[in-house]
Amino acid sequence: MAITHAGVPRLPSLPVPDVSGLRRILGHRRNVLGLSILLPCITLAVVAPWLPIQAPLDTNPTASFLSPSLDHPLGTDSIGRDVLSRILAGARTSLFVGFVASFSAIAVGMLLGTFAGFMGRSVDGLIMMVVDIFLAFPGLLLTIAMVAVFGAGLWQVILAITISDIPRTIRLQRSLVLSLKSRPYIDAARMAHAPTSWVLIRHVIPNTIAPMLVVGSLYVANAILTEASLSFLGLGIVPPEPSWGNIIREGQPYLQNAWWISTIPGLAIVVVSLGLHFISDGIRESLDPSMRS
Amino acid sequence: MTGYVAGKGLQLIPTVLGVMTLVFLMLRLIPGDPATYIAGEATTQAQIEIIRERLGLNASFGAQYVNYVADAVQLDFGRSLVTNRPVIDMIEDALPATLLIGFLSLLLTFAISVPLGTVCALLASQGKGTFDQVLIFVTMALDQLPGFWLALVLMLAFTLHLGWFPATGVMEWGDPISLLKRIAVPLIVLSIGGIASISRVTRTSVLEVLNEDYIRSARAMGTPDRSVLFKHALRNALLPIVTIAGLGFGRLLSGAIIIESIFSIPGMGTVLIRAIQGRDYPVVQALVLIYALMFVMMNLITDLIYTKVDPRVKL
Amino acid sequence: MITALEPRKAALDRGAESNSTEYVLRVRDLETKFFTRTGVVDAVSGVSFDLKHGERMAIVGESGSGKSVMAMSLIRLVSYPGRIVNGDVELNGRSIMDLTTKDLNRIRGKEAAMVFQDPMTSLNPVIRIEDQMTPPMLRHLGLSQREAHERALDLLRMVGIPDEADRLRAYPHEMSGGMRQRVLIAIALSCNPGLILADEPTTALDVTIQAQIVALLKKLSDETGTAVLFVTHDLGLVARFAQKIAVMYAGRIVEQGDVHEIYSNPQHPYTRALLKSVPPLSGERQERLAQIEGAPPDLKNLGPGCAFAPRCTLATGRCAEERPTLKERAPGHVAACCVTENEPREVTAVGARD
Repeated sequence: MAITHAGVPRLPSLPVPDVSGLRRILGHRRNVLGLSILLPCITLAVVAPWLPIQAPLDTNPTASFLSPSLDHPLGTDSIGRDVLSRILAGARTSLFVGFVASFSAIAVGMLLGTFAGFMGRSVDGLIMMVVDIFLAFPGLLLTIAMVAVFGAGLWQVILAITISDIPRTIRLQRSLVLSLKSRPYIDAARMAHAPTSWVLIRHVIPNTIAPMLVVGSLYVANAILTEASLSFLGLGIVPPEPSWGNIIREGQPYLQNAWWISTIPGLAIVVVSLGLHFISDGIRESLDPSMRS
Repeated sequence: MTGYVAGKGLQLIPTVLGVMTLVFLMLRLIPGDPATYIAGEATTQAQIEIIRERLGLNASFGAQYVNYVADAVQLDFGRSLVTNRPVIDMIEDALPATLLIGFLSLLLTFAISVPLGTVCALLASQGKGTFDQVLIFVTMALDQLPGFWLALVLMLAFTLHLGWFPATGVMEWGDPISLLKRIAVPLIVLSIGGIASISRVTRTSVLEVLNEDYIRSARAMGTPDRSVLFKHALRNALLPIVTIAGLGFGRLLSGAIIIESIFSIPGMGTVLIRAIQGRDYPVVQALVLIYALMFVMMNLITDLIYTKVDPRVKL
Repeated sequence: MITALEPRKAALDRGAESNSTEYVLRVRDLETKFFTRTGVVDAVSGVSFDLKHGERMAIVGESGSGKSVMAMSLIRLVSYPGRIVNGDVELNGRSIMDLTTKDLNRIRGKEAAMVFQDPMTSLNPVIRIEDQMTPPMLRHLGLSQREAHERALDLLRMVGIPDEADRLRAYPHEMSGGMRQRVLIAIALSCNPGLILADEPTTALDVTIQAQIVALLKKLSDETGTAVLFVTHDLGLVARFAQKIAVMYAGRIVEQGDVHEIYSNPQHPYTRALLKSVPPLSGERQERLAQIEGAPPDLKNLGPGCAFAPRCTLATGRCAEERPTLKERAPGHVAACCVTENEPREVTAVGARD
């Protein structure tokens, strides 16, 4: 089951932010590998509407179950829709869900986590109590429950995944902030009567961005997978709008004759997932000198 | 020791209560009227009213909550909106399959990962690293595969093409061999993720332990290699493995829901998914609660195991 | 059946477990290398010395001098990516180089035992002390569980641990560093070895405890007749302990001899510098502690000449080209230095520090 790493990912030691860091990140071998996997996928997905292939929603029942050919590089499905086109459209949906859900979860999580970590005391206690209750649910279960509540559909899925990821993010951000809070330069800033918000913005948050990026890439991979699982079960994106998950579902009855309908989107998920994992490892390694192999 | 267990158990009560509260609130989180939503489009007002009654939505919020908790504690989860059976009966029917698959999966995972990881670590420590590196890469790749997709691929390969394993569905409790054949493929799919991560953790852990000074001390006194491995190394290496395994339970639970559904195994996961698709709210509510409580319980057990195994942890 | 620890001398006299040779350890041209991804490290490059039964010898050198690797090589404890590539080690008259692992394990702990540097990590944290002490005794001495238990109590008493019965049931994390080191010494002695290899056994301990441990080792060696090879970087520590000293630098012995000789008449510039850097307890207060300039050499890239030359105040051009060999300076006293070879003999005032 390819949900994200079990347990807490190993975090790099926290660096002071610097510009050359970006160059270092981009230059790192793993990142190059990951990006070279990911960027073409994203590009393909984006330019898909302009490609000279049949539109994803166009049906043509007379031309169903065609084998792969020049007209239809990956064949057609049960009602004559071009499979490649649908997979590319599915890419757009899945990637969209993945990035938007993760980004939102991280944004909210960072906000609340920083708040909890910095304010401490009862605010922290309250937030963490709620977080702990959410974390008493295994991840996917929570998402499924949310989807049961909100129903199927694009934004419902995004909301469900976001809400499921927020508790973990809060906890992570909070522990980062707590460990930063005790560093000498924070004390120095406070002794110089720097306002709390300034300290937060200038010192604390920038140092949490790197670990968050590491974790964030994994969240995206996880979100894509979750969406696919949900859509596969009929609980996510509603057909005819394609997503990798529901394409796999649609292909299920035809596994024997047209196996590619179900198999290829799955491979696409694996490839994107691998790319994201490489990026995550790459960012982690490039920012933590002690972990360079 | 029993005192410790009891103490930990008591600590869990707030968590359990919180979980129940969250599940309770979820139904009420539905935008608009829950009853209407559950009823669907083509229903009359009268039918919606009936549903409202059934779900107890006419009582005050506080009363609803109290009723809910009181009922849950007595394991009364109401009746299914679809079949009108008591939910608790449905759970009882579905539980054995889920437990069987979960338990076997755990067994399989550990039976494969620990020896595999240990062998890899031993090879790596002696410099014969190629097999080890290959394995790491393979497990990492396997870990990325979406479970449900892998399920389909394996079903395609083993059931449809090769016909080795029958398509599942009916649990033939009386015939163990046939039963095992039926659940073989789902079991494999469910366990792969766990095998991938636990064998990696085992490898890292054993490798680290082999470099420790006390291993050197044992060897310096002439302890035979087999003793060094089993008595000294593994006993220490297993500690982080227990922790990681505990964290992996969540994946196991969630994964099982999907796998059961795909393979039509009559377990709790299938019931849950069907209930969600059919908007059978009482069933959904009850099952989510049960799953969450199972997770909490598993974490407690992992904690206790760890305490037993590591003498440095103060009770 | 052994019930109490008996002085090795007495045992030898009676001819029990005795060997016809007078040496417990003979080392010839020992070479150990580490084959790493970044290069081959010449950790030990040709070390030879002898140790008699009951003798106490100190191997002195900085970090990186190869002394620990050398000690571990004596019982072939060096593991991947390290390997003994040349030389011979004879323990009680028998070469260990060609022994199978099984035979090697019969020797380890029984004929030679080792005490390591860090007591905090040298004991298995999840096993009780008793269960770490008794298995070697069961294996090497053929004792029963009950006999081993009794002997373990004796051993703990012998190394000065109070409440020995309680300590046996304890876990390592329940004891202090000094006490753990005593336990490790007890384990080393448990099977009556003829030789104890002590690799910086006090470095990780407090200064006060250090002196206690050294004294303990000396007392045990005297009482049981066990030879001790004490590896250290601290010349001051071994002044009263050792009878012989070998100074190692960059994987080689650069000076070796009787302790009084070495302290009163050091022949190698490195030895002299080491002696000078020991702060005196009495006498004038020094302005600065004397240091040896520079850093230890890179063992992956040893040049053709004398390894100490870059840091040596007496170095000449010849030193960088030609590696000196050990030559006798006085009976039983050898040193490898081209420059000091030609000095007139005198007793310098860099006396032994007590």
